[in-house]
Amino acid sequence: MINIENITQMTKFEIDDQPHIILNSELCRTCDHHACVNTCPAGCYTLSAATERLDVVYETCLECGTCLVICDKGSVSWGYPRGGYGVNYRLT
Amino acid sequence: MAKSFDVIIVGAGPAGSMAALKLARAGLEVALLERGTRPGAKNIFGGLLHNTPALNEIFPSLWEKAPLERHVHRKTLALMTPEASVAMSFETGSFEKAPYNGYTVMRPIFDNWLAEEAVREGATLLASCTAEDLIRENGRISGVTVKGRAGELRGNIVIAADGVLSFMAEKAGLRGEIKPGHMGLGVKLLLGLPREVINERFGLVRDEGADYSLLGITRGLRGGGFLYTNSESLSLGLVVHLDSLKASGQKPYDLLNQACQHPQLQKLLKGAVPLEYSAHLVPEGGLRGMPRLYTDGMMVVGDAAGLCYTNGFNLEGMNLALTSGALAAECALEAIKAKDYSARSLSRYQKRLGASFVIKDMRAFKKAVDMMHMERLYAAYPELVCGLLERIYRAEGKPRDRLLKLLRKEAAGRVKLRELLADAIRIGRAWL
Amino acid sequence: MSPTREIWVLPEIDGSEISELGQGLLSEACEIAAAVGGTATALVFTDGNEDYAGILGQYGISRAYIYRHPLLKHFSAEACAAALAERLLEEKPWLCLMGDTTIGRELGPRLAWLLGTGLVSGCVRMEADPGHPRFFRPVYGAQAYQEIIFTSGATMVVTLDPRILNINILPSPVEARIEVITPELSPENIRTRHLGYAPADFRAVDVAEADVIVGAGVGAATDALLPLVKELAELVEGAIGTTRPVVDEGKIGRERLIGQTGKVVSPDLYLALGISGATHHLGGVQGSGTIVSVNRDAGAPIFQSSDVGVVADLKEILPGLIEKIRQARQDGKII
Repeated sequence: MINIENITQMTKFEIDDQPHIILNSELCRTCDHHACVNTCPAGCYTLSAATERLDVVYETCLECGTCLVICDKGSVSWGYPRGGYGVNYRLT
Repeated sequence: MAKSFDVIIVGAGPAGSMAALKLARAGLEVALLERGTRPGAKNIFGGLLHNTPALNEIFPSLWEKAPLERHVHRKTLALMTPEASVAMSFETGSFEKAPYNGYTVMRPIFDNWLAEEAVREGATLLASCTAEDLIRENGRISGVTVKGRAGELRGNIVIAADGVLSFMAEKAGLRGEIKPGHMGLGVKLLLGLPREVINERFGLVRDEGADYSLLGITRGLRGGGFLYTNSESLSLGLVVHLDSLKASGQKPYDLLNQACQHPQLQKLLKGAVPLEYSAHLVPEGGLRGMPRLYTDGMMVVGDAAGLCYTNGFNLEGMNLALTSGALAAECALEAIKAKDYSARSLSRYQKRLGASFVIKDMRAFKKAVDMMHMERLYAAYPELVCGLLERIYRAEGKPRDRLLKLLRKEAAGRVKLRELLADAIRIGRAWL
Repeated sequence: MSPTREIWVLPEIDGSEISELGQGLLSEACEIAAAVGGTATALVFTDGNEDYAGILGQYGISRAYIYRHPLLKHFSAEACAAALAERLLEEKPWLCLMGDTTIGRELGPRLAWLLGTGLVSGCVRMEADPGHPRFFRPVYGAQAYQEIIFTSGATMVVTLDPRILNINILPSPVEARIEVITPELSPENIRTRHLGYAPADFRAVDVAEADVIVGAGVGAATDALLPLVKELAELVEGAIGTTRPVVDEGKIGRERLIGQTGKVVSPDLYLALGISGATHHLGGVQGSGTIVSVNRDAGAPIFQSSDVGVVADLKEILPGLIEKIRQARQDGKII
């Protein structure tokens, strides 16, 4: 029922040109679990097999804060987006 | 610098808007900040708005005024295994007349309505404003700054109603780092289904609603599922403890998709069209997980104060938030009249909250939080009960065993008798 | 400070015409002057010889300082501030008014700094109390208003939101006393030089509005191919769009990103070059009329969503394609 690749077809986002999530890739490299990749309900985190780099797509972030809470390396700099930006629920 | 408002409220959710409404009614200048484009744009819940005195006080005929979906007519608790389910449903005539016991609502719509009511009373709504930091003067919190906008919003009191992650409570030093064990991740799918189909399928009349709690739907992960009927849609979702989710390596949306495929749920969801997907954290730390509730110049309300609990039967959140907002407003009003915004003056809030059902219930069911960490609840016991019932009901033309023997057969390999007893005691402690 | 309340106003006069904004500012200044029992002085910065006496008097302006200098031909905040400085500090007017325009926003802060005073920008209302006037400006997206008063007794510098201005021409004009001043300005003191005006062109059009889009994916946005892609876009008068990996590498700007997290487009023709067709991107182009794709990889998902698909190496096909299109245009065939 949910294809996370098509999240923007189900949920509206007001995309800011500044990210509200910034990763410290040095710290990510020291991580052995990358829990953020699986636990993010919007699939914002990807671990590139080739470059072993952890990337985050802030544009489709549901702003739950799971990554902030689950990261135990302190790599995630996370704040709410600027007012008016980010996920914009219509019904839920 | 001159103060801008009497009270600044960060977050126009139920707690914040309730506080704003009461304060504005009392004639105070209130700023109600909301980081979404409209109040409710960032909010989701399961969920139910339970009958709440603090809300009824302001809106005596709530069901006529507020944008409510359905009033809950039947409550169902189901234990589920991948193939089977056993459900206990409760309905009573006494829940069928106003004031109803509970309602389903759509948060972006309800929260927006409540905030607008606060604005009608004179509160100033500042939407699209994300509070960035607290302003301190003379050792007291006296305002907030807004992300990306110049200027300072100053007031005598700040009420932090900024939800489960409450950065305001963190900046005020009232809470430390959030522990994964204290949080549940809720993911939800809103599915559109015509009103008549819902009524037919769920056996409802007019705007009666059904409410399902699904234990075991999370396939061994600590958590549960929910299904609620709205006017023309279904709310289906799961809440899983973050640490359990992390350990499993599973993805939340995969779990939700699997839930949608469950044979018994599939029948209920047939023909439903996905409308919106959402996710949010739920405070699951109970009393122990709560931050401190006040300091000089500030009080914390709602999810920001960790006011949320479940004991398996009752899932409470929105009503606790509304009540805490109302109490914080009362205390703010008294503090402003006495011109005393100190922690000592605002400690009244904690006392009042403590004397109300809000903290009393959090306290009464604090053992339920521990009970929820019982792993067997989420797979072994649903399987045990369903397996037992299957043995009881199965017709094979063979001689039947009696209950105890069936229980022993079903429990074998799943749980030892002494474990079962220990769990029973734990559950008993949580509820009795 | 002089005992009469002097209000200086900058009506942004360019040449001999006064714009509606300028007229509004002059009227506002005169209205305030009347309310507080003061006088209104207009400031003009020009390189020409126009006589402004007649036009200024219509609004009630009784005095004007005309600064004349070749270096004042095009507006320069530095030049105007330098020219005005002497009089400004000598006379220290009660209030200095400008429009909340690029000119007002550039000059206002400089004047405020010279005077050691504050600046209120984007003012939408003024309560012209002769003692302590109050200025109001919208904040938090106009959901609230900030009320500002100047407490130090220094000159008040304010830019006004043009939308609140009204033009008021007096039935009988007053006589405006004109003083022409030739300031001492030299190019060395002015750090910016006006080079010219550039008109907007189709290349700058928002990709979301374009009728024809040439999408450059990772396969096309290489150093060797990008110039060819741009040439092709010119020939078909298309806007250039792109995909996420290209933006991440900094090769093409973010404002040209097409996809679910970028812009959703619906051109009549979408030419996808070297784009694999990840769902994120396709979600942004599905409204297109005709999709033509070129990709080296026959298994690229984009072919499933294309009307015309060409499996080819862009290096080989682009030059030929460009040549054919150029020929077709020359021959008058419409693409």
